[in-house]
Amino acid sequence: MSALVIVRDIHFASSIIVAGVVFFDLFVASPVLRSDLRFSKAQFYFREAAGNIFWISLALSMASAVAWLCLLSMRITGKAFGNVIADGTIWIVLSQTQFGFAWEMRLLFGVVLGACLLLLRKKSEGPATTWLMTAASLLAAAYLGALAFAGHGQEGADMADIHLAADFLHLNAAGLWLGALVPFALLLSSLRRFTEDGWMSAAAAAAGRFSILGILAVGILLVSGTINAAFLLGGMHNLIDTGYGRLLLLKIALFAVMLFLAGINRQYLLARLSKVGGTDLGSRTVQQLIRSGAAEIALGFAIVLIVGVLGMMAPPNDIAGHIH
Amino acid sequence: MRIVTLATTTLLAVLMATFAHAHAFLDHAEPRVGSTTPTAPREVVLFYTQNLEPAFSSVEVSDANGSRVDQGKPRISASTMRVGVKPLPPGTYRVRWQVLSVDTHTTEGNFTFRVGP
Repeated sequence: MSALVIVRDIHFASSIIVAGVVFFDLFVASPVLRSDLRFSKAQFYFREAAGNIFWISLALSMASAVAWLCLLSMRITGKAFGNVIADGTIWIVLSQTQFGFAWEMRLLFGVVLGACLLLLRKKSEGPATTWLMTAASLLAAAYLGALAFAGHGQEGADMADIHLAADFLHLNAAGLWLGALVPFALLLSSLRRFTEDGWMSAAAAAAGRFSILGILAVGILLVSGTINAAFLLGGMHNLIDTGYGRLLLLKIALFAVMLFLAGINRQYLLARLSKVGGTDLGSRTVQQLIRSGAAEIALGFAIVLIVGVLGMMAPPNDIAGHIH
Repeated sequence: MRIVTLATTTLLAVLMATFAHAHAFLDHAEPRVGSTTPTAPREVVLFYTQNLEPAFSSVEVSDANGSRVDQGKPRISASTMRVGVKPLPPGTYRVRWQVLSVDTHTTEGNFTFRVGP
């Protein structure tokens, strides 16, 4: 596996987590916890840990973005790292290519997102906090979604905007589901750790909200993924006939397993939790939700690994170009 | 507020639409690949399947002895690259091209054309 593929994988994974932590806070953690004094210890523990995950992921995302830019410059020109720095190739890529423009915008979004999160740490509940969280979510969506500009998005010239929109939504749906799984598992763990009064109701509420987000994310992933495949494959037979297609098929298979696990969580574990909350069975159910979440996270990041490789390959629809 | 955020994110997805492309393969050229043209062309034009990055795309036209007959830096517009050539006597000419598509994939190739009866 080349260095560029590894860097891409790290970048995708960390960027998805950055967005996921922000989305989860806005749509799940804050509404559920709402400065409820009953969960003060769990909330403190969760917010500290989620904050650390966010900042580490943002730093990793930014660092891998720089590495991606350097490796890309080396690949484009065939020059060594020292040369692409010394002769200004990196600056040319950054300032004179569309990839570079996308990277400049993403850097701006990332810095402003970080500033928002720093401001949020100093604010207590109130309208300003809600506006800041909304702004942070939009910035996180822009930061993650703008990755679409660095990938395949112009196949089928007349429909290029649709393909790009599908890519943008696909990435953010991944953030909403896979990225948010990390803080979700963390929140359940925090509540279960301190077992403060009413913690199981809070866990059930969080799981219920996350389940709804998951349904929305899965719907977007299915539609946008189908659109992307239609643009890139150039025919269903290429799922089997080409290396690109077989890798995509593996990605789809892992997604199906994730979906199966999420289905069990919603239909079985969540339903059981709402009935037996406050009992030992309820506590064990929360533990099962955490374990299932961990399994989904592992599968999700296996998908991210595949995405990193797919982005380096020519989609079958590209290769179908012809020479007169 | 949260519904507004979801709606705005969706709208952003539709509005933020230009760039990303894929591998740029040569679609066709003028003079045509492998063709024989009775009249010497004044420029060689290459049409690609995707938009190009001018900063990292180039083309060279050389005669049978390997001497360059193009007139330097090509002009690139979207997915088209064109380069002027010197007056070409009858003979076989080779076009070597290397391009970077806007989604950062490089492709290269070459072909020949003839000037003459």
